[in-house]
Amino acid sequence: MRPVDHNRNIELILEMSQEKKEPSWLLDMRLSAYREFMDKPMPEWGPDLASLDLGNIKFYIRPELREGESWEDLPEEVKRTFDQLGIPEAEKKYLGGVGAQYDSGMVYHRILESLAREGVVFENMDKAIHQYPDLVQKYFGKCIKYNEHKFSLLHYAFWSGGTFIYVPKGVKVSMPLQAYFRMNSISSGQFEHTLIIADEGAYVEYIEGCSAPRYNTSSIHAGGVEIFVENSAHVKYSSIENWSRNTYNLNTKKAHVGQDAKIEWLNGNMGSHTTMLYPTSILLGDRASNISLGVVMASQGQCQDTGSKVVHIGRDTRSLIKSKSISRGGGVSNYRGMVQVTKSASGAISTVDCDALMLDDISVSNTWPTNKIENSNSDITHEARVGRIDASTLHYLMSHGLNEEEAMRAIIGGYMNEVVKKLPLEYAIELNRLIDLEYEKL
Amino acid sequence: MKNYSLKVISPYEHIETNSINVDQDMTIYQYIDNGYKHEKYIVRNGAKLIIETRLNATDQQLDHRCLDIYHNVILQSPGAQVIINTKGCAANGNKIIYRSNIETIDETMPHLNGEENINLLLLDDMSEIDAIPSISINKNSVNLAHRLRIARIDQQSSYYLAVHGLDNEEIDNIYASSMLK
Repeated sequence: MRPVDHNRNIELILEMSQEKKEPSWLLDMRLSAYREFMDKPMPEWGPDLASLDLGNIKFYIRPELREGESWEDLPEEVKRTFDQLGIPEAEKKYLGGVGAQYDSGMVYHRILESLAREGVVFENMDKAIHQYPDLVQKYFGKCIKYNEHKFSLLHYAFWSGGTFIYVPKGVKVSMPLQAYFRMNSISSGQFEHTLIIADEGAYVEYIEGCSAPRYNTSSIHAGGVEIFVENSAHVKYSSIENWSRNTYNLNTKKAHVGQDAKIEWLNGNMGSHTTMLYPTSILLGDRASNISLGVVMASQGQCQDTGSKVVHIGRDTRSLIKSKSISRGGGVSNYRGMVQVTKSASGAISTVDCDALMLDDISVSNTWPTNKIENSNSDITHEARVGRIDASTLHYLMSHGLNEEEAMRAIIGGYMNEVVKKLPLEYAIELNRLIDLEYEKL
Repeated sequence: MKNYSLKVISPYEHIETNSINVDQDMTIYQYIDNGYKHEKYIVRNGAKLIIETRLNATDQQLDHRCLDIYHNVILQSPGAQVIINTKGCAANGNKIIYRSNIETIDETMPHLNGEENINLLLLDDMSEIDAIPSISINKNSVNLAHRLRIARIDQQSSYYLAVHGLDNEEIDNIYASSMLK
């Protein structure tokens, strides 16, 4: 393992900030974050990160590509990558806007004219700093504090690219906006920052996808997603993460939810070597609500350590968390969630439902939920089940003509369906395809 | 791999757990109204362990204003089973910390079953409950489930009792008694 070259990294931060022509407050934030990162120890809990070789990872890869407004502007090999992922096709058919990031830089960003005329902003984060400086400064880093943990420090030091979305008051964006993140370089880090602001009464659906080719050395993805759901607004955030098996996926996602506002999280985690992902909702306003749906597959050599966190602060807040996981071939799947009801959260109602399916005798499943309740006028329920596929159900399907593999796939499909069906149809099909692919690998 | 949960601050954090081997079917009844109970049960020989626990954290004179309970059950043989039923209530500024862990060991073992039901009641806003029921399944054929409910007093029922002449303290006592049976 190579030691981390802190001096070189600080130089890199200064070069990066100068290239991007960032305001001084951003550079100060980067440097403060990195200085704290240097001294912060690795987390003492969670999956084993011992083989994450931070000294060998390039935290910033200077983009060689300029952002284009047409897929035709992109170099052939980049265009081919996104063609294979179906992104340009999707944009034509059913998306209101698309962004595409290649390593550390956005290479494509476009929004429908009709949405832009309504004042909807869907922009590359690097550009948004210059085009909407007051708005960005008001919200950036206010949801995810820069020093929340070691990898948020690394994120704020090296963040590059990502998406900025602003939806004005009362505007409902009827078509989803999508961003796709591709980590293409060997031994690299990707630290995109997504900032979504839904102003009062607004609605937006945002979908993220990500992938990377597989190399023999480790890579890291420590992105950040901050979502501000102002009073009476509604944000639906969906993410399908299919990083390659050498990637450490240490993402941070958090939302602040105002009065009568609603946040929906929908996460599908298939890939990566190790994932630590805990989308968090802070229900600040009265009658704020959260729905978190998660689908996780852990196969051979993988550790998926995921969970949802909700903090109830306002009165009469609601949260629903459903998590479905499958472990197979020695994979490790952990649910590590938290529900906190503070003293002010009178009338809070929370329901957590975790199911874990183990397909063989060599996999691991752990459930570690934490419930911290400080208000007597609240109602919290949590249920969890861990088990194997019911033999009688398998037998029933096989007696109706399916072979064992087909029967298992049908059962798994049904098991995941409750979550998958919440996605737009095209993404549900894609997620089902990914689940099938993961199943086939073994 | 270490476990993680929200920092649970307990005055009894560093107490050693007692370890009890369960080699035949056993039912344990516990009524805890002060202090702590940290115990590890190792279930062997295909035995069935039932733990019935009642937690009463309503006394104003409670030590450290905290009850800290930890049940760690290890299913160590084929056919081992555990059922944990816990009920409790907290009032008068007291806190219940309830932690449990049902786990299995490394070797492949078939037919392991477990079930945990936790029902806790907070009687006022000065009191708190931290509940962390865990399941750690390590390479086994197993069926395990747990259910947790931290509820509030049903307002309609309270109103019914109040119009029949009971004051708030009497109503709380009725709820606490029914929970602790």
